[in-house]
Amino acid sequence: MSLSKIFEFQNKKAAKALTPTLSDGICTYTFSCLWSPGKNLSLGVLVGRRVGDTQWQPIITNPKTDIDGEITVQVGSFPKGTKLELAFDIFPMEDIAACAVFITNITENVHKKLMPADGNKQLEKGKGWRDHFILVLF
Amino acid sequence: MRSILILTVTMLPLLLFAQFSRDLRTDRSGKLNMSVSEFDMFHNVSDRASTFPQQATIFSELDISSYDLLSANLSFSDKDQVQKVVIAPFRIMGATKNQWISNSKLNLSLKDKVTTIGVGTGWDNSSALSKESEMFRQLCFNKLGTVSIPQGATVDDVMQRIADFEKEKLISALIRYDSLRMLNVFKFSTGYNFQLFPVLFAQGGVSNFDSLNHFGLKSHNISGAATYSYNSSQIIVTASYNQIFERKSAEKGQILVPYYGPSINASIRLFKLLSYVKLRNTASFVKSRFIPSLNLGTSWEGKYPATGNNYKLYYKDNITRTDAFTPYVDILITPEAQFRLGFPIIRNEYAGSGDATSMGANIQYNFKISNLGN
Repeated sequence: MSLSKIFEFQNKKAAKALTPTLSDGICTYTFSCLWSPGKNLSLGVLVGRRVGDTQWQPIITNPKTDIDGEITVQVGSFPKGTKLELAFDIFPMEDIAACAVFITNITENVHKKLMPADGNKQLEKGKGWRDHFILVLF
Repeated sequence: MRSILILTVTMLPLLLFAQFSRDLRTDRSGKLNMSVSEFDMFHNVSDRASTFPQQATIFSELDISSYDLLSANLSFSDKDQVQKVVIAPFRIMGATKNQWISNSKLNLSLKDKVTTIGVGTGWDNSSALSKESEMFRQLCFNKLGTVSIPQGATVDDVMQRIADFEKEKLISALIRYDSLRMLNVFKFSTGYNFQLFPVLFAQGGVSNFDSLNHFGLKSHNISGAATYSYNSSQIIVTASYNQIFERKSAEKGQILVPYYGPSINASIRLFKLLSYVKLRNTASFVKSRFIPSLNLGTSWEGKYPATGNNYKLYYKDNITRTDAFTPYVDILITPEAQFRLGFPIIRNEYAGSGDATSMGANIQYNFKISNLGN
Protein backbone atom coordinates (compact mmCIF):
# COMPACT_ATOMS: atom_id res chain seq x y z
CA MET A 1 0.00 0.00 0.00
CA SER A 2 1.69 3.19 -1.08
CA LEU A 3 0.04 5.50 1.46
CA SER A 4 1.24 5.00 5.04
CA LYS A 5 1.06 7.15 8.19
CA ILE A 6 3.93 6.66 10.55
CA PHE A 7 4.44 10.14 12.06
CA GLU A 8 2.47 11.86 14.76
CA PHE A 9 2.40 15.54 15.84
CA GLN A 10 2.23 16.05 19.55
CA ASN A 11 0.80 19.59 19.24
CA LYS A 12 -0.06 22.30 16.72
CA LYS A 13 3.28 23.98 17.16
CA ALA A 14 5.08 20.80 16.30
CA ALA A 15 2.85 20.39 13.27
CA LYS A 16 3.60 23.91 12.06
CA ALA A 17 7.31 23.40 12.46
CA LEU A 18 7.06 19.98 10.85
CA THR A 19 8.77 18.33 13.79
CA PRO A 20 6.87 15.10 14.14
CA THR A 21 7.59 12.16 16.36
CA LEU A 22 7.66 8.64 15.13
CA SER A 23 4.69 6.56 16.21
CA ASP A 24 5.38 3.76 18.63
CA GLY A 25 5.48 0.22 17.35
CA ILE A 26 5.71 0.79 13.63
CA CYS A 27 5.77 -2.54 11.87
CA THR A 28 5.76 -3.76 8.30
CA TYR A 29 2.87 -5.97 7.24
CA THR A 30 2.40 -8.40 4.38
CA PHE A 31 -0.68 -9.95 2.82
CA SER A 32 -0.30 -13.63 1.90
CA CYS A 33 -2.48 -15.93 -0.09
CA LEU A 34 -1.63 -19.60 0.48
CA TRP A 35 -3.07 -22.52 -1.45
CA SER A 36 -2.38 -26.13 -2.31
CA PRO A 37 0.83 -26.01 -4.42
CA GLY A 38 1.04 -27.16 -8.02
CA LYS A 39 -2.00 -25.18 -9.18
CA ASN A 40 -2.03 -21.82 -10.91
CA LEU A 41 -3.59 -18.97 -8.99
CA SER A 42 -3.69 -15.22 -9.45
CA LEU A 43 -4.02 -12.54 -6.83
CA GLY A 44 -6.06 -10.42 -9.21
CA VAL A 45 -6.82 -7.37 -7.08
CA LEU A 46 -5.70 -6.11 -3.68
CA VAL A 47 -6.73 -2.64 -2.55
CA GLY A 48 -6.85 -1.10 0.89
CA ARG A 49 -7.31 2.00 3.01
CA ARG A 50 -6.98 3.06 6.60
CA VAL A 51 -10.40 3.07 8.19
CA GLY A 52 -11.60 6.64 7.99
CA ASP A 53 -9.72 7.50 4.79
CA THR A 54 -11.81 8.24 1.73
CA GLN A 55 -9.32 7.05 -0.87
CA TRP A 56 -8.61 3.37 -1.57
CA GLN A 57 -5.04 2.60 -2.57
CA PRO A 58 -3.96 -0.20 -4.88
CA ILE A 59 -1.55 -2.48 -3.05
CA ILE A 60 -0.70 -4.34 -6.25
CA THR A 61 -0.72 -2.58 -9.61
CA ASN A 62 -0.98 -5.77 -11.67
CA PRO A 63 -2.24 -9.27 -10.89
CA LYS A 64 0.34 -11.56 -9.34
CA THR A 65 0.32 -15.18 -10.45
CA ASP A 66 2.13 -18.23 -9.20
CA ILE A 67 1.96 -21.98 -8.97
CA ASP A 68 4.00 -22.76 -5.85
CA GLY A 69 1.27 -22.19 -3.27
CA GLU A 70 2.14 -18.72 -2.01
CA ILE A 71 1.79 -15.13 -3.11
CA THR A 72 2.95 -12.57 -0.56
CA VAL A 73 2.89 -8.82 -1.10
CA GLN A 74 3.93 -6.02 1.20
CA VAL A 75 1.03 -3.93 2.44
CA GLY A 76 3.12 -1.24 4.12
CA SER A 77 4.46 0.01 7.47
CA PHE A 78 1.95 1.12 10.05
CA PRO A 79 1.76 1.75 13.78
CA LYS A 80 0.30 -1.13 15.69
CA GLY A 81 -3.39 -0.71 16.32
CA THR A 82 -4.06 0.97 12.98
CA LYS A 83 -7.34 -0.15 11.47
CA LEU A 84 -6.97 -1.26 7.86
CA GLU A 85 -9.67 -2.21 5.42
CA LEU A 86 -8.60 -4.50 2.60
CA ALA A 87 -10.49 -5.86 -0.41
CA PHE A 88 -9.18 -8.60 -2.68
CA ASP A 89 -9.96 -10.88 -5.60
CA ILE A 90 -8.17 -14.21 -5.59
CA PHE A 91 -8.67 -15.69 -9.03
CA PRO A 92 -8.01 -19.42 -9.49
CA MET A 93 -6.78 -20.54 -12.89
CA GLU A 94 -7.50 -24.13 -11.92
CA ASP A 95 -9.63 -25.81 -9.29
CA ILE A 96 -7.98 -25.20 -5.93
CA ALA A 97 -8.67 -27.59 -3.08
CA ALA A 98 -7.63 -25.28 -0.24
CA CYS A 99 -6.88 -21.58 -0.03
CA ALA A 100 -6.54 -19.10 2.84
CA VAL A 101 -5.49 -15.49 3.46
CA PHE A 102 -2.91 -14.45 6.08
CA ILE A 103 -1.53 -11.15 7.36
CA THR A 104 2.00 -11.14 8.74
CA ASN A 105 3.77 -8.60 10.88
CA ILE A 106 7.20 -9.25 9.42
CA THR A 107 8.90 -6.88 11.85
CA GLU A 108 7.94 -9.06 14.77
CA ASN A 109 7.47 -12.27 12.81
CA VAL A 110 3.86 -12.82 13.82
CA HIS A 111 1.15 -13.96 11.46
CA LYS A 112 -2.59 -14.27 11.65
CA LYS A 113 -4.97 -16.21 9.47
CA LEU A 114 -7.72 -13.89 8.38
CA MET A 115 -9.98 -15.77 6.02
CA PRO A 116 -11.78 -18.05 5.97
CA ALA A 117 -12.49 -18.12 9.68
CA ASP A 118 -12.72 -21.92 9.78
CA GLY A 119 -10.86 -24.37 7.59
CA ASN A 120 -9.86 -23.45 4.06
CA LYS A 121 -11.65 -22.10 1.06
CA GLN A 122 -12.21 -24.32 -1.98
CA LEU A 123 -12.02 -22.45 -5.28
CA GLU A 124 -13.40 -23.29 -8.68
CA LYS A 125 -11.48 -22.48 -11.86
CA GLY A 126 -12.41 -19.06 -13.25
CA LYS A 127 -14.54 -18.04 -10.26
CA GLY A 128 -12.76 -15.45 -8.15
CA TRP A 129 -12.85 -15.28 -4.36
CA ARG A 130 -13.83 -11.65 -3.79
CA ASP A 131 -14.04 -10.39 -0.24
CA HIS A 132 -13.09 -7.59 2.12
CA PHE A 133 -12.26 -7.26 5.80
CA ILE A 134 -11.29 -4.76 8.47
CA LEU A 135 -8.19 -5.56 10.44
CA VAL A 136 -6.69 -4.03 13.58
CA LEU A 137 -2.96 -4.33 13.04
CA PHE A 138 -1.24 -6.39 15.68
CA MET B 1 19.96 -49.98 -34.91
CA ARG B 2 17.11 -50.31 -37.39
CA SER B 3 14.64 -49.64 -34.56
CA ILE B 4 16.41 -46.41 -33.66
CA LEU B 5 16.36 -45.31 -37.30
CA ILE B 6 12.63 -45.97 -37.63
CA LEU B 7 11.95 -44.16 -34.37
CA THR B 8 13.98 -41.17 -35.53
CA VAL B 9 12.37 -41.00 -38.97
CA THR B 10 8.84 -41.16 -37.56
CA MET B 11 9.27 -38.70 -34.73
CA LEU B 12 11.89 -36.21 -35.90
CA PRO B 13 9.58 -34.13 -38.14
CA LEU B 14 7.20 -33.60 -35.23
CA LEU B 15 9.99 -32.69 -32.86
CA LEU B 16 11.38 -30.14 -35.32
CA PHE B 17 7.99 -28.66 -36.09
CA ALA B 18 7.10 -28.35 -32.45
CA GLN B 19 10.36 -26.55 -31.83
CA PHE B 20 9.95 -23.96 -34.57
CA SER B 21 6.19 -23.51 -34.33
CA ARG B 22 6.52 -21.49 -31.12
CA ASP B 23 7.25 -18.39 -33.22
CA LEU B 24 3.52 -18.18 -33.92
CA ARG B 25 2.84 -17.00 -30.41
CA THR B 26 5.82 -15.00 -29.22
CA ASP B 27 8.79 -13.29 -30.73
CA ARG B 28 12.36 -13.94 -29.65
CA SER B 29 12.16 -11.51 -26.78
CA GLY B 30 9.13 -13.34 -25.46
CA LYS B 31 6.73 -10.52 -26.40
CA LEU B 32 3.26 -11.62 -27.44
CA ASN B 33 2.76 -11.49 -31.20
CA MET B 34 -1.01 -11.84 -31.24
CA SER B 35 -3.65 -9.14 -31.25
CA VAL B 36 -6.91 -9.45 -29.33
CA SER B 37 -8.81 -10.41 -32.49
CA GLU B 38 -6.32 -13.15 -33.21
CA PHE B 39 -6.84 -14.43 -29.70
CA ASP B 40 -10.56 -14.62 -30.41
CA MET B 41 -9.78 -16.73 -33.43
CA PHE B 42 -7.89 -19.11 -31.20
CA HIS B 43 -10.58 -19.36 -28.61
CA ASN B 44 -10.91 -23.12 -29.05
CA VAL B 45 -9.05 -24.34 -26.04
CA SER B 46 -9.51 -28.07 -25.69
CA ASP B 47 -7.27 -30.99 -26.28
CA ARG B 48 -8.57 -34.27 -27.55
CA ALA B 49 -5.23 -35.77 -28.51
CA SER B 50 -5.46 -38.18 -25.64
CA THR B 51 -9.18 -38.87 -25.86
CA PHE B 52 -8.83 -42.03 -27.90
CA PRO B 53 -5.81 -44.25 -28.42
CA GLN B 54 -3.68 -42.63 -31.09
CA GLN B 55 -2.95 -46.09 -32.42
CA ALA B 56 -6.40 -47.07 -33.59
CA THR B 57 -6.44 -50.78 -34.29
CA ILE B 58 -3.47 -53.12 -33.94
CA PHE B 59 -1.74 -51.37 -31.05
CA SER B 60 -4.73 -49.80 -29.33
CA GLU B 61 -4.28 -51.88 -26.19
CA LEU B 62 -0.61 -50.86 -26.00
CA ASP B 63 -1.20 -47.15 -26.56
CA ILE B 64 -0.18 -45.15 -23.54
CA SER B 65 -0.47 -41.63 -24.93
CA SER B 66 -3.24 -40.45 -22.59
CA TYR B 67 -2.52 -37.29 -20.58
CA ASP B 68 -5.75 -37.30 -18.60
CA LEU B 69 -6.34 -38.12 -14.99
CA LEU B 70 -8.26 -41.15 -16.14
CA SER B 71 -9.19 -42.36 -19.59
CA ALA B 72 -11.36 -45.43 -19.97
CA ASN B 73 -11.92 -46.84 -23.41
CA LEU B 74 -14.16 -49.63 -24.63
CA SER B 75 -13.85 -50.84 -28.19
CA PHE B 76 -16.24 -53.26 -29.87
CA SER B 77 -15.79 -54.92 -33.22
CA ASP B 78 -16.76 -58.12 -34.98
CA LYS B 79 -13.34 -59.63 -34.16
CA ASP B 80 -12.57 -58.64 -30.62
CA GLN B 81 -13.29 -56.22 -27.83
CA VAL B 82 -10.80 -54.05 -26.00
CA GLN B 83 -11.38 -52.76 -22.50
CA LYS B 84 -8.76 -50.25 -21.56
CA VAL B 85 -8.02 -47.89 -18.69
CA VAL B 86 -5.14 -45.46 -18.48
CA ILE B 87 -4.79 -43.71 -15.14
CA ALA B 88 -2.31 -41.10 -13.92
CA PRO B 89 -2.06 -41.82 -10.17
CA PHE B 90 0.16 -38.88 -9.24
CA ARG B 91 -2.33 -36.44 -10.70
CA ILE B 92 -4.90 -37.63 -8.21
CA MET B 93 -2.49 -36.87 -5.41
CA GLY B 94 -1.41 -33.63 -7.09
CA ALA B 95 1.70 -33.61 -4.97
CA THR B 96 4.43 -32.97 -7.49
CA LYS B 97 5.58 -30.22 -9.79
CA ASN B 98 7.76 -32.62 -11.76
CA GLN B 99 6.07 -33.18 -15.09
CA TRP B 100 7.60 -36.60 -15.71
CA ILE B 101 6.23 -37.84 -12.39
CA SER B 102 2.91 -36.05 -12.80
CA ASN B 103 2.49 -37.58 -16.27
CA SER B 104 3.40 -41.10 -15.23
CA LYS B 105 0.57 -43.49 -15.91
CA LEU B 106 -0.63 -47.04 -15.65
CA ASN B 107 -2.14 -48.88 -18.57
CA LEU B 108 -4.50 -51.80 -17.99
CA SER B 109 -6.29 -53.42 -20.88
CA LEU B 110 -7.92 -56.62 -21.93
CA LYS B 111 -8.15 -57.78 -25.53
CA ASP B 112 -9.05 -61.24 -26.75
CA LYS B 113 -8.44 -62.75 -23.26
CA VAL B 114 -4.96 -61.25 -23.18
CA THR B 115 -4.21 -58.91 -20.29
CA THR B 116 -1.92 -55.93 -20.88
CA ILE B 117 -0.25 -54.11 -18.03
CA GLY B 118 2.00 -51.16 -18.64
CA VAL B 119 3.65 -48.12 -17.19
CA GLY B 120 4.68 -44.95 -18.93
CA THR B 121 5.41 -41.30 -18.60
CA GLY B 122 5.41 -38.28 -20.80
CA TRP B 123 6.11 -34.62 -21.35
CA ASP B 124 3.62 -32.06 -22.51
CA ASN B 125 4.39 -28.42 -23.27
CA SER B 126 0.77 -27.39 -22.64
CA SER B 127 0.97 -28.56 -19.06
CA ALA B 128 0.57 -25.83 -16.47
CA LEU B 129 3.81 -27.13 -15.01
CA SER B 130 5.86 -26.42 -18.14
CA LYS B 131 8.14 -23.40 -18.42
CA GLU B 132 6.30 -22.33 -21.54
CA SER B 133 2.99 -22.23 -19.66
CA GLU B 134 4.64 -20.15 -16.98
CA MET B 135 5.75 -17.68 -19.64
CA PHE B 136 2.19 -17.46 -21.03
CA ARG B 137 0.84 -16.97 -17.53
CA GLN B 138 3.13 -14.00 -17.03
CA LEU B 139 2.27 -12.60 -20.45
CA CYS B 140 -1.46 -12.86 -19.98
CA PHE B 141 -1.84 -11.79 -16.37
CA ASN B 142 0.99 -9.59 -15.31
CA LYS B 143 0.16 -6.50 -17.34
CA LEU B 144 -3.56 -6.20 -16.77
CA GLY B 145 -3.35 -3.22 -14.43
CA THR B 146 -5.77 -2.94 -11.54
CA VAL B 147 -9.15 -1.48 -10.66
CA SER B 148 -9.51 2.27 -10.56
CA ILE B 149 -11.48 3.46 -7.55
CA PRO B 150 -12.73 7.04 -7.26
CA GLN B 151 -12.38 9.04 -4.08
CA GLY B 152 -15.09 8.36 -1.56
CA ALA B 153 -16.11 5.00 -3.01
CA THR B 154 -18.09 2.81 -0.65
CA VAL B 155 -17.20 -0.81 0.04
CA ASP B 156 -20.06 -1.91 -2.22
CA ASP B 157 -18.70 0.27 -5.03
CA VAL B 158 -15.27 -1.23 -4.57
CA MET B 159 -16.54 -4.80 -4.60
CA GLN B 160 -18.58 -4.08 -7.74
CA ARG B 161 -15.53 -2.64 -9.47
CA ILE B 162 -13.50 -5.68 -8.47
CA ALA B 163 -16.25 -7.95 -9.87
CA ASP B 164 -16.20 -5.98 -13.13
CA PHE B 165 -12.42 -6.22 -13.30
CA GLU B 166 -12.64 -9.98 -12.89
CA LYS B 167 -15.27 -10.28 -15.60
CA GLU B 168 -13.57 -7.99 -18.10
CA LYS B 169 -9.92 -8.69 -17.48
CA LEU B 170 -9.19 -11.78 -15.44
CA ILE B 171 -11.57 -14.21 -17.17
CA SER B 172 -10.40 -13.01 -20.59
CA ALA B 173 -6.80 -13.42 -19.48
CA LEU B 174 -7.55 -16.97 -18.37
CA ILE B 175 -9.07 -17.81 -21.75
CA ARG B 176 -6.08 -16.30 -23.51
CA TYR B 177 -3.72 -18.23 -21.30
CA ASP B 178 -5.48 -21.52 -22.05
CA SER B 179 -5.67 -20.63 -25.75
CA LEU B 180 -1.96 -19.99 -25.94
CA ARG B 181 -1.18 -23.21 -24.15
CA MET B 182 -3.34 -25.14 -26.58
CA LEU B 183 -2.23 -23.43 -29.79
CA ASN B 184 0.83 -25.52 -30.55
CA VAL B 185 0.91 -28.51 -28.29
CA PHE B 186 3.67 -31.04 -28.41
CA LYS B 187 3.53 -34.19 -26.37
CA PHE B 188 5.90 -37.05 -26.00
CA SER B 189 5.20 -40.26 -24.18
CA THR B 190 7.10 -43.45 -23.63
CA GLY B 191 6.17 -46.66 -21.90
CA TYR B 192 6.66 -50.32 -21.29
CA ASN B 193 3.90 -52.93 -21.50
CA PHE B 194 3.75 -56.65 -20.97
CA GLN B 195 0.98 -59.01 -21.99
CA LEU B 196 -0.10 -62.16 -20.24
CA PHE B 197 -1.79 -65.27 -21.56
CA PRO B 198 -5.09 -66.27 -19.88
CA VAL B 199 -3.31 -69.13 -18.07
CA LEU B 200 -0.37 -67.76 -16.12
CA PHE B 201 0.98 -70.96 -14.55
CA ALA B 202 0.18 -74.54 -15.39
CA GLN B 203 0.94 -77.76 -13.59
CA GLY B 204 -0.14 -81.29 -14.44
CA GLY B 205 0.57 -83.43 -17.45
CA VAL B 206 -3.00 -84.37 -18.40
CA SER B 207 -3.50 -83.73 -22.12
CA ASN B 208 -0.17 -81.91 -22.13
CA PHE B 209 -1.81 -79.13 -20.13
CA ASP B 210 1.47 -77.90 -18.70
CA SER B 211 3.33 -77.88 -22.01
CA LEU B 212 0.44 -76.16 -23.84
CA ASN B 213 0.44 -73.45 -21.19
CA HIS B 214 4.14 -73.38 -20.56
CA PHE B 215 4.51 -69.59 -20.79
CA GLY B 216 2.55 -66.94 -18.96
CA LEU B 217 4.17 -63.99 -20.73
CA LYS B 218 2.76 -63.42 -24.21
CA SER B 219 4.74 -60.36 -25.12
CA HIS B 220 6.44 -57.25 -23.89
CA ASN B 221 7.22 -54.03 -25.66
CA ILE B 222 8.65 -50.57 -25.34
CA SER B 223 6.98 -47.73 -27.13
CA GLY B 224 7.32 -44.04 -27.82
CA ALA B 225 4.84 -41.57 -29.27
CA ALA B 226 5.13 -37.95 -30.31
CA THR B 227 1.99 -35.89 -30.86
CA TYR B 228 1.56 -32.44 -32.26
CA SER B 229 -1.80 -30.71 -32.05
CA TYR B 230 -2.69 -27.32 -33.41
CA ASN B 231 -5.21 -24.84 -32.07
CA SER B 232 -6.88 -26.90 -29.36
CA SER B 233 -6.66 -30.08 -31.37
CA GLN B 234 -8.14 -28.72 -34.56
CA ILE B 235 -5.43 -30.80 -36.18
CA ILE B 236 -3.61 -33.68 -34.52
CA VAL B 237 -0.66 -35.62 -35.90
CA THR B 238 0.90 -38.50 -33.99
CA ALA B 239 3.87 -40.70 -34.83
CA SER B 240 4.48 -43.76 -32.69
CA TYR B 241 6.84 -46.64 -32.58
CA ASN B 242 6.57 -49.94 -30.74
CA GLN B 243 9.33 -52.49 -30.38
CA ILE B 244 7.49 -55.69 -29.63
CA PHE B 245 8.70 -59.09 -28.51
CA GLU B 246 5.79 -61.48 -28.97
CA ARG B 247 5.17 -65.16 -28.54
CA LYS B 248 2.91 -67.02 -30.95
CA SER B 249 1.33 -69.13 -28.21
CA ALA B 250 1.89 -70.32 -24.66
CA GLU B 251 3.20 -73.67 -25.86
CA LYS B 252 6.56 -74.93 -24.72
CA GLY B 253 9.28 -74.14 -27.26
CA GLN B 254 7.79 -70.89 -28.54
CA ILE B 255 10.11 -67.91 -28.57
CA LEU B 256 9.61 -64.17 -28.25
CA VAL B 257 9.81 -62.91 -31.82
CA PRO B 258 10.87 -59.26 -32.22
CA TYR B 259 8.55 -57.04 -34.27
CA TYR B 260 8.75 -53.45 -35.52
CA GLY B 261 5.56 -51.49 -34.98
CA PRO B 262 5.49 -47.97 -36.47
CA SER B 263 2.27 -46.02 -36.77
CA ILE B 264 1.05 -42.61 -37.88
CA ASN B 265 -2.23 -40.97 -37.01
CA ALA B 266 -3.80 -37.73 -38.23
CA SER B 267 -7.16 -36.14 -37.56
CA ILE B 268 -8.95 -32.86 -38.06
CA ARG B 269 -11.92 -31.21 -36.40
CA LEU B 270 -14.64 -30.84 -39.02
CA PHE B 271 -16.92 -28.60 -36.98
CA LYS B 272 -17.88 -27.67 -33.44
CA LEU B 273 -21.29 -28.71 -32.18
CA LEU B 274 -21.82 -25.47 -30.23
CA SER B 275 -21.25 -21.84 -31.08
CA TYR B 276 -18.54 -20.10 -29.10
CA VAL B 277 -21.08 -18.02 -27.19
CA LYS B 278 -22.90 -21.16 -25.99
CA LEU B 279 -19.66 -23.04 -25.54
CA ARG B 280 -18.26 -20.41 -23.18
CA ASN B 281 -21.16 -21.02 -20.82
CA THR B 282 -20.77 -24.78 -20.61
CA ALA B 283 -19.24 -26.14 -17.42
CA SER B 284 -16.99 -28.58 -19.28
CA PHE B 285 -15.51 -25.78 -21.39
CA VAL B 286 -14.82 -23.59 -18.38
CA LYS B 287 -13.38 -26.53 -16.48
CA SER B 288 -11.30 -28.38 -19.06
CA ARG B 289 -11.82 -26.43 -22.31
CA PHE B 290 -13.71 -29.36 -23.76
CA ILE B 291 -15.21 -28.63 -27.20
CA PRO B 292 -18.09 -30.79 -28.43
CA SER B 293 -17.18 -31.54 -32.03
CA LEU B 294 -17.18 -33.91 -34.98
CA ASN B 295 -13.73 -35.02 -36.07
CA LEU B 296 -12.39 -37.00 -38.97
CA GLY B 297 -9.17 -38.97 -38.88
CA THR B 298 -7.17 -41.84 -40.14
CA SER B 299 -4.34 -43.96 -38.87
CA TRP B 300 -1.85 -46.37 -40.31
CA GLU B 301 -0.19 -49.06 -38.25
CA GLY B 302 2.36 -51.59 -39.38
CA LYS B 303 3.71 -54.69 -37.72
CA TYR B 304 6.70 -56.50 -39.19
CA PRO B 305 8.88 -59.28 -37.82
CA ALA B 306 12.41 -58.06 -37.26
CA THR B 307 13.87 -61.48 -38.02
CA GLY B 308 14.80 -63.45 -41.07
CA ASN B 309 13.10 -66.49 -42.54
CA ASN B 310 14.50 -68.77 -39.84
CA TYR B 311 11.78 -67.65 -37.47
CA LYS B 312 8.77 -68.19 -39.75
CA LEU B 313 7.64 -71.08 -37.58
CA TYR B 314 7.19 -68.71 -34.68
CA TYR B 315 5.10 -66.07 -36.47
CA LYS B 316 1.59 -65.80 -35.15
CA ASP B 317 -0.87 -67.20 -37.74
CA ASN B 318 2.09 -67.33 -40.16
CA ILE B 319 1.69 -63.60 -40.71
CA THR B 320 4.85 -61.95 -41.97
CA ARG B 321 3.48 -58.43 -42.31
CA THR B 322 0.39 -56.58 -41.15
CA ASP B 323 -0.77 -53.16 -42.26
CA ALA B 324 -3.87 -51.58 -40.76
CA PHE B 325 -5.42 -48.50 -42.29
CA THR B 326 -8.22 -47.10 -40.13
CA PRO B 327 -10.37 -44.17 -41.20
CA TYR B 328 -12.54 -43.01 -38.30
CA VAL B 329 -15.02 -40.44 -37.10
CA ASP B 330 -14.81 -39.10 -33.52
CA ILE B 331 -18.00 -37.72 -32.06
CA LEU B 332 -17.29 -35.73 -28.90
CA ILE B 333 -20.47 -34.69 -27.12
CA THR B 334 -19.43 -34.27 -23.50
CA PRO B 335 -16.34 -35.43 -21.60
CA GLU B 336 -18.42 -38.39 -20.48
CA ALA B 337 -19.86 -39.24 -23.87
CA GLN B 338 -17.37 -39.64 -26.66
CA PHE B 339 -17.58 -42.12 -29.48
CA ARG B 340 -15.33 -43.28 -32.25
CA LEU B 341 -16.61 -45.10 -35.27
CA GLY B 342 -13.71 -46.73 -37.07
CA PHE B 343 -13.45 -48.81 -40.23
CA PRO B 344 -10.20 -50.72 -40.01
CA ILE B 345 -8.87 -52.21 -43.24
CA ILE B 346 -6.29 -54.83 -42.33
CA ARG B 347 -3.95 -56.42 -44.85
CA ASN B 348 -1.98 -59.48 -43.82
CA GLU B 349 0.85 -61.15 -45.71
CA TYR B 350 1.35 -64.82 -44.91
CA ALA B 351 4.54 -66.84 -45.08
CA GLY B 352 4.57 -68.50 -48.48
CA SER B 353 0.83 -68.23 -49.08
CA GLY B 354 0.03 -64.77 -50.41
CA ASP B 355 -1.93 -62.09 -48.62
CA ALA B 356 -5.44 -61.25 -47.50
CA THR B 357 -7.26 -58.03 -46.81
CA SER B 358 -10.09 -57.82 -44.32
CA MET B 359 -12.39 -55.03 -43.31
CA GLY B 360 -14.75 -54.54 -40.41
CA ALA B 361 -16.30 -51.74 -38.42
CA ASN B 362 -15.61 -51.06 -34.81
CA ILE B 363 -17.07 -48.63 -32.33
CA GLN B 364 -15.28 -47.22 -29.33
CA TYR B 365 -16.77 -45.57 -26.32
CA ASN B 366 -14.55 -43.37 -24.26
CA PHE B 367 -14.87 -41.88 -20.82
CA LYS B 368 -12.28 -39.56 -19.43
CA ILE B 369 -11.62 -37.36 -16.46
CA SER B 370 -9.25 -34.69 -17.60
CA ASN B 371 -7.53 -32.07 -15.56
CA LEU B 372 -6.10 -29.73 -18.08
CA GLY B 373 -4.39 -27.70 -15.42
CA ASN B 374 -1.90 -30.40 -14.61
